[in-house]
Amino acid sequence: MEKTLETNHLWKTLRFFSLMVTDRAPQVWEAKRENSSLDLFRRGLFVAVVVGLILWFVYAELHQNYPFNWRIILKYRYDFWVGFLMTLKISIVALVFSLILGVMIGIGRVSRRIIFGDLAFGYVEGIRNIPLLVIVLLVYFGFGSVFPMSRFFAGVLALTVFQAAYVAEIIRAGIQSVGKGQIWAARSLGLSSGTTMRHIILPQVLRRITPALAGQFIYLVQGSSLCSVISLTELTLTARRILTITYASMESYITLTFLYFVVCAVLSLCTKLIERRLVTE
Amino acid sequence: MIQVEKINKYYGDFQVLRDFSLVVGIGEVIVVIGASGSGKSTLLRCINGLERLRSGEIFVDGVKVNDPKTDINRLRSKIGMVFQDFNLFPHMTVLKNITFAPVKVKALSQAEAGRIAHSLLAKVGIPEKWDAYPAALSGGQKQRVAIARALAMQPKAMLFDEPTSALDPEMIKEVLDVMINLAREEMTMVVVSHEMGFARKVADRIVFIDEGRLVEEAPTEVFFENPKHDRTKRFLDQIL
Repeated sequence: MEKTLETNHLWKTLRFFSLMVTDRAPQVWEAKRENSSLDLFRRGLFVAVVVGLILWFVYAELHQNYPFNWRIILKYRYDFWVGFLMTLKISIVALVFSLILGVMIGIGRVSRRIIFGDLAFGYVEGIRNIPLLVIVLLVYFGFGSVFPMSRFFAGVLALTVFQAAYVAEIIRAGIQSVGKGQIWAARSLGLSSGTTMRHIILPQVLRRITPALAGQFIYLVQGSSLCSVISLTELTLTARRILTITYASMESYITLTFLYFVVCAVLSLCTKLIERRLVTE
Repeated sequence: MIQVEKINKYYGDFQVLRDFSLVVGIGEVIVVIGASGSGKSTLLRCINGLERLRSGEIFVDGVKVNDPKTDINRLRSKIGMVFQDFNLFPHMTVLKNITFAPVKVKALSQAEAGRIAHSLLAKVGIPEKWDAYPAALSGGQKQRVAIARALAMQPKAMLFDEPTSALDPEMIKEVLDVMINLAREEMTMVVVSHEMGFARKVADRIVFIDEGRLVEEAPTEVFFENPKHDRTKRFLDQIL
């Protein structure tokens, strides 16, 4: 009895690896198959094991030449936590404001009033051609020298201004993808342009742009690391400060990398779930 | 009911409608035919003010459409429109599709609008689909919902823009039947369509457009039996 179980297991494992190499993902032009013959969990596990092994080898190699001391990180865990919270806080506040500003500018881009369209176009093109780092510096050290502002405010302002331009483009593309027919149908029923926008166009836009918006938000979290140049004590600056105190460069930066990865991965996962819910609705 | 007077419409430099005039009486059914790109659909969109005119005037129910002082939303709520590709709102159920405008524009209560919606769905033959999303309907069902949606505003006139062109052959009849019933109820209708059987059956007059011009306009019998213009004869030869 035991033996059959064992062979069964062996057979399954062999089959798994054989499938792993032979299984073919459907091409974009093909209809989606219901499911790959390998379940998602096993595939994920396989990838995790491979990546883990690679990382482990790299770590072992580094360990030969670098005296890792993870106690330091434990010791400063509270500082990391504070920096982490600051990164989250600035990202979320900037997200909210950039969404509001971005939606306004995005709608401006498709407005019938030519002047709104031109202004919005100018904003988007202007901002998109300036690096985020430069905007952060300009806001805090430039404008900040005339209008004194807190670091947090400057950070939020720079990220919002920068992010809104990209959000606006996503919104514009989303609105234009809904198509004239929907607008005609809504307006021919006597709905006002405001009602049409709010109840007919935007709900459809939201569904289409969730993936793009999510990507942009993840980029925002990563972009917030640039606020470290204006001494805003977020995650990146925390890591750099700990490094200058302890010289534990590897440990602090690996921790930093890991924390950003976790936040962005969780965000990514959340948006996948939201997306799925929106699709099935 | 509808009066179109010498309208000119351009898309950029391209002239879509040239000095086009048409009068539709109350309860009349007009079928508009013409090659694709001849301006038929544009004409319909002009009638309910979805397109801006270069010149000319359009009156619906005595109100001027292309006048900035007109309450265009109020006017549009009196003109139902049905499109070739349905244009149902994909994020709303069938019921919501139908009740949304009456609730928003005519300030009906949800219950009252719902009652009207259910009776209209029964009228177009799909009372059981009220809870479905448009994606779950066949083309013919979608178009019937679209007709019910337009009727829910209790319009005085209906515009149909090739309502059966995007349908599979076996679904055309179910939509045409709904339209035939509507015509029997004395609804004023302007229909862009190439369904000649339908045109013969219900149309009072046929209008033939070519390159934005009204080429020929005649009572249905006369139009089919005795077309005057060569262009009309050639067109009829091609489609009949």
